[in-house]
Amino acid sequence: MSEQTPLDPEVIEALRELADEEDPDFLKDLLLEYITSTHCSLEDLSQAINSEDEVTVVKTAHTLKGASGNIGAPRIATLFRQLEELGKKDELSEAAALMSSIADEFQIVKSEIAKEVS
Amino acid sequence: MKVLVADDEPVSRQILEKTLTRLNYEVISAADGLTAWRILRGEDAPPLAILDWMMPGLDGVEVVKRLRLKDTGSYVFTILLTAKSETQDIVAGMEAGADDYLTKPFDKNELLARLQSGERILRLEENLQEKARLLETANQGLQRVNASMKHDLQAAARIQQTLLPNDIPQVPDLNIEWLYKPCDELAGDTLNVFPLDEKHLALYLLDVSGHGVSAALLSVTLSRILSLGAEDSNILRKKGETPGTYRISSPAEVADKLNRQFAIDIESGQYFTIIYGILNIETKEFTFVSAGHPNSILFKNGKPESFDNTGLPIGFSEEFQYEERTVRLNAGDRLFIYSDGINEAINPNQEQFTTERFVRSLTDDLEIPLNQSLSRAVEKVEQWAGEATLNDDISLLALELT
Repeated sequence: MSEQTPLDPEVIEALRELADEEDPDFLKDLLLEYITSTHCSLEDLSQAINSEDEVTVVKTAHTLKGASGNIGAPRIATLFRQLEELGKKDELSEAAALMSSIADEFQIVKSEIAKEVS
Repeated sequence: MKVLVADDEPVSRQILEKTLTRLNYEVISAADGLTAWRILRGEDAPPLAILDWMMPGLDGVEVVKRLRLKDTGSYVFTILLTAKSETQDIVAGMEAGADDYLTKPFDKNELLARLQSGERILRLEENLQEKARLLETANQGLQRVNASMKHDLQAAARIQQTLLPNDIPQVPDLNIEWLYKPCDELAGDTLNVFPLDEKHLALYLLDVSGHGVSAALLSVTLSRILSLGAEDSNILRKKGETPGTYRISSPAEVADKLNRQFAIDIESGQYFTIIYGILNIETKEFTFVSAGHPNSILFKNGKPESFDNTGLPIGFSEEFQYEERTVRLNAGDRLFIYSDGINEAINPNQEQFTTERFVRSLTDDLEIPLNQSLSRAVEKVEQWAGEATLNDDISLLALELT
């Protein structure tokens, strides 16, 4: 995992190529939407962990794992996968520590995205 | 081609939408399973659907299950979107009816390859449906032809029925009964009883080999030949020197003439067997020939006898000389002439009814009226055949002296 970068340049490049004349800002809009929706979902996750709602933890972590993978953020995707597995195993006691790593990684991803879209 | 994309997660959905649009697909989006299901069951539904596994409400697998339960004309090729680690899920998804799967994050080339494979299957499906439609049309045509043929056969059967005895000659002390049951619409069997002059009755029962239309054609021809018609002279009698009198052909003469006229048909192998006889009304003597026909059964004093004198079937050998036999009927005697549809009727175990069973039935019923005895014998044959149904025509002609 250590060799992974916060954003995978190949994926970003492939997404950038999807932009066309009709939709020149596709990548920018997509990444900003990712940030907005992930931000909201992280709040949902914290609440679910506090109230020991494993079902919501598993579902939300799963969705964030998929979205992060798709925009090419493999490191945070891995963290969401670990959280999803904790939820499945009913081991939410370890989730708080993981959430703190996720929050740190999300800051890194956000700053990397900012570089990409500026 | 239209493709449905169903994913509740907007970022992934947008990437899919964009990628598919760039691949020249017409994309329809749904943000949840229920919306996807409504689109797929609606009119003009897309033939391809990419469904995310995890969606609130109806998930992708549930959409696929509903789709497979629904009986629609056109097939929807479904691809489930899953995370890479979920092999068990993939199996469950395919078992639920999904056609293929795609792991997230997806590779553009893999997506295209899977969609193209889907399109190939849809084309095959469409070809298959087109062929099914053609078959259905052809089938309707066949049904029309079949109905028309059935109609013709029924009309022909009604004509054939008119050639059976329509009014039995009334002779003192003589009871004549008959029974006739074709196994198809048309029969190869036929029979008749009619007066040749004031003192003589002609009786015959014949069985053309095979059954159905080809047998019926010859059987009808023979009915015509073995009738008096409007002509003064025919195979059965010639006009005498004194007006109003006739020289009646003997049964052997009739058999010889038929034998010369109806040589076995080489191509079809068609031939016939016949018993032709003349009953002298005054002396009650019955003189007859049998050409390859099952032996008649005569009951005298309640005991069955059969006459072992049958010759070759008609048309087998031109030189064959048919021999006559004469029996005198006494009060209480019953004579039964029948076709092999009775003794050769087979049950589902391929066992024949046999002449023995037939004779036993007639013996058991000697005390009941003759017509009932015939019906009961045929009922027993039909019960014997059971589900096997009759495989040959049945005909019976019986005389009784009271």
